[in-house]
Amino acid sequence: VSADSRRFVGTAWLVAQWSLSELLWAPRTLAMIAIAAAPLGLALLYRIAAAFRIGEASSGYAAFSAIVAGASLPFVAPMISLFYASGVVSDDVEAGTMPYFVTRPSTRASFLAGKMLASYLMTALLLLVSLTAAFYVAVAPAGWDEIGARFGSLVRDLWVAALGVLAYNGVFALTGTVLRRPLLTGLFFIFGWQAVATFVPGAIRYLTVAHYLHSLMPHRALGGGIARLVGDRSSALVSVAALLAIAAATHVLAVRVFQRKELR
Amino acid sequence: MMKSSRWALLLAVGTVGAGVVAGAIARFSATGLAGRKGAALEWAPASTSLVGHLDVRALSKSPLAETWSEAVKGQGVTTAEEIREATGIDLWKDVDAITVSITERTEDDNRNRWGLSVDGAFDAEAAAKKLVTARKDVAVEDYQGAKIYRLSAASRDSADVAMAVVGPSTALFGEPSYLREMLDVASGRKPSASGVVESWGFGGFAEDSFWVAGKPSKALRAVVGRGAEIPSLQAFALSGRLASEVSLRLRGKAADAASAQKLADLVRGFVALGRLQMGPTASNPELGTIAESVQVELAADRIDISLTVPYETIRKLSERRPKEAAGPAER
Repeated sequence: VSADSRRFVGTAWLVAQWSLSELLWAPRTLAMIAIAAAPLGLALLYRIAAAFRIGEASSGYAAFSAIVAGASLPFVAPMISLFYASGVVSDDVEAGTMPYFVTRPSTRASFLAGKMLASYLMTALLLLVSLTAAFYVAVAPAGWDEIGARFGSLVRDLWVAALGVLAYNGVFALTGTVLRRPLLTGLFFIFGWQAVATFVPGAIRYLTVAHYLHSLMPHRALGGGIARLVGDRSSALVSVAALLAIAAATHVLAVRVFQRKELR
Repeated sequence: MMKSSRWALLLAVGTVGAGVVAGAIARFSATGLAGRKGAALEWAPASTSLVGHLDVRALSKSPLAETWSEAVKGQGVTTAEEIREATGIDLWKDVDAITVSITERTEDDNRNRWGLSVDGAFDAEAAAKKLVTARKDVAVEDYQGAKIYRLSAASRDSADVAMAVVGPSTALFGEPSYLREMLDVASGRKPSASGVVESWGFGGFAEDSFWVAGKPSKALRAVVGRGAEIPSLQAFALSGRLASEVSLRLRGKAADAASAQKLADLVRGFVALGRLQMGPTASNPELGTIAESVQVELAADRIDISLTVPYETIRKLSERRPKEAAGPAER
């Protein structure tokens, strides 16, 4: 490992730690916690409905499946990622602190890498905590055996969520690096492009992150119906490879753009 | 990084870690595949009226395996042989556990609705390919992200059978519409039989090598029913452990405490009759030995019968059956 690489990693890690501290106590984190808590809230609502026998009876795992497939992965994950990752550049530009960072003895690449790592860790932690808590609220009352039986699904949800957030982090970090107003574009990507393209027959759905997440999800509450309408899911191997490729390409591109970007 | 930030991150990581560790303990704390009651019921729909689970690995390691193979020799276990011929999966060699669920016929639906989930050390994809190659009449359809291989009925008396590959070494077999229902259960679209078995009042199958639980069929209700002035049985569970001897436990849920009492009296009567068979001069001393081990417990509307059967007794009983069958012809 060359000295340059060690310096790059060391600087990026320092920036990530500092940025993580900033993000943890930033006012927007309260709003993000509220969004991340939505699946947990839905699981609690399910429990209350089940206790009072409101609505159609279903198992706790069925409720958890619906929450993950209908809320956590399609909306909560990209929303949190959008609000953190799109600000990797614009936050410091708007605060006027960017010139100080890029004039310090650190490369632009290591600075942005650290910022993107911090935004990824923040998003992933919020989402994974929310998924774990929702799982136990929904499934645990059915007993220890049921937890054991559904454990495989929880593990798969966690790594699929972590992988999906990595792809979203790259997409939104790139958007935040290229565009001056990345939030609007990001919201269009989530609620416009992905929401429509996933349902449209043909190859267009391959240009979304959501398609590969649906393909990897153990739950088929939404994916099954959609798959029947627009065609097969992608295989697990293709989906993992596609998400990793999206993540790698967007993160690298974001760094490249940032290195050439004129910052004011 | 600030101390408070570290604590916040540690709390988040700890929450996820604790959730994963607890789940892993729940998954692996049960001994053997039969211990995974929840997993066994992972595919069984809530509409099931009878569900059973067999830890094939435990059975194959027990002395019962030899007795079993001798007993079925030449009799042909049709379904097992059909599956082996069609897919290459040998139910007795390649399989770790089998769970079967059956939904009783109704007046509206006169079909036999059944399904099997099979876990083991076989290549499920290869089995499916063999099925498609071997049988020209296989129709393939996609459902819930899984491929269903449907085999047309061989004769007018038999029904269509379907297979689905749902994991590297997990396959489902069953009546086609029932198999779709099983996939719905796995995807979370429909509730599993887990809650149903609990509603019957049974559980605690963690240590059992095999178990079956259900509502009594119409045929059984005709025997153990109100009409015959015998207490009505609402649900039952039979479970067994293969240790140094076979421990069996039969639990029943009666309509009320009085019915349970009558049922217990009936069982005690049979046990008393069985005990008369004890001794070397008795015509059936093995039954007497079994009857001696029977314990009947009663709690409100629940009856709990436990007994132990030595492997030697099972072997003798299985040897005697063919002799008795051959007896009249010899005479």
